[in-house]
Amino acid sequence: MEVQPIGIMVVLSGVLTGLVFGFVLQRGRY
Amino acid sequence: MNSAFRDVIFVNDMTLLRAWLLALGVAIIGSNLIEDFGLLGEDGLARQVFAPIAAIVGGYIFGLGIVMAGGCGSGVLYKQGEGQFAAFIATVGFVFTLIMSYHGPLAPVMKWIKSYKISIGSGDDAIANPALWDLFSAPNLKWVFIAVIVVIIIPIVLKGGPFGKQPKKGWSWALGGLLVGLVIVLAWWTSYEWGGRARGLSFSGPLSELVTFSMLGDSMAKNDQLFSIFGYGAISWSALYIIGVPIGAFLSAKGLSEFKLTAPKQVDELLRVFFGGMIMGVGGALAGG
Repeated sequence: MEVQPIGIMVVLSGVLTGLVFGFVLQRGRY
Repeated sequence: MNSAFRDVIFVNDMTLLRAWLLALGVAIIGSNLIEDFGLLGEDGLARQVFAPIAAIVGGYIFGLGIVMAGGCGSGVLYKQGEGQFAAFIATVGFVFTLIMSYHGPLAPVMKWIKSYKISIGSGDDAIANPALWDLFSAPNLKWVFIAVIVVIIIPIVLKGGPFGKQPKKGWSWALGGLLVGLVIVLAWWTSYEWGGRARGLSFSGPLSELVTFSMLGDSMAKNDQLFSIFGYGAISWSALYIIGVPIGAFLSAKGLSEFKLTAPKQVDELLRVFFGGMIMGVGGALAGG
């Protein structure tokens, strides 16, 4: 296991993906 | 997805099934396209090992758990964002057995059931994680297989009138399904580009990774690239998007004025969702996400 110092892009892309997915799921729900 | 099949069987309503199929079609085409365009590097999509018994048994157990817990992995996460306390309790139960299955006393059992797996070929060329076309020894026919799936999906989706008028609140099933499909494709790409491996969207593993990181400072994801936050700990990219799901659902619910903190009045209801979550964890870990 190799640990890399975190890039801001990693956090941003991860959390943003989650944000979009959560948003879409809630919106498209019945 | 659970709701989609439930509606077809119990309420004879195909709407959610159509949305799910649309998302599936978009995801299959999109993710294989970006793989072919080389956007996912040499390894391409991180397909899972094909362990049929684990997948079937795990899927069945997961399904039982979903019904008791009132939502699947992503379901219990976004329902927290709507303010449902029961979904939070289900998530706690879910994580409990997930970590037991990945790292704890259930791990040997999981390993044993998953040891029956199908790989194609032998030696260095063996494909340990075959796709559908690999199973038929026809890797060149990848797009034929995809075309067949899409041809089956299209008429079912079209019959629902995807271009009909929009509902007053939220989005139509067609827009929702399309966007879910696109987010899945986007996640395949971002997970490769920034997370180090084209892992895509999954919830069981990443949820366990977020919780073990939160508690122990280590996501314990042996196949994934791990990152330290300001020099501390080791977290996977996948664990990070779990954080976003309830927040995104919360923003959406706020936007639609649907956010409301709710909790079941009956204690046995809370117990039911907790145990449902625990059953989900076992099934999810076994089926592979």
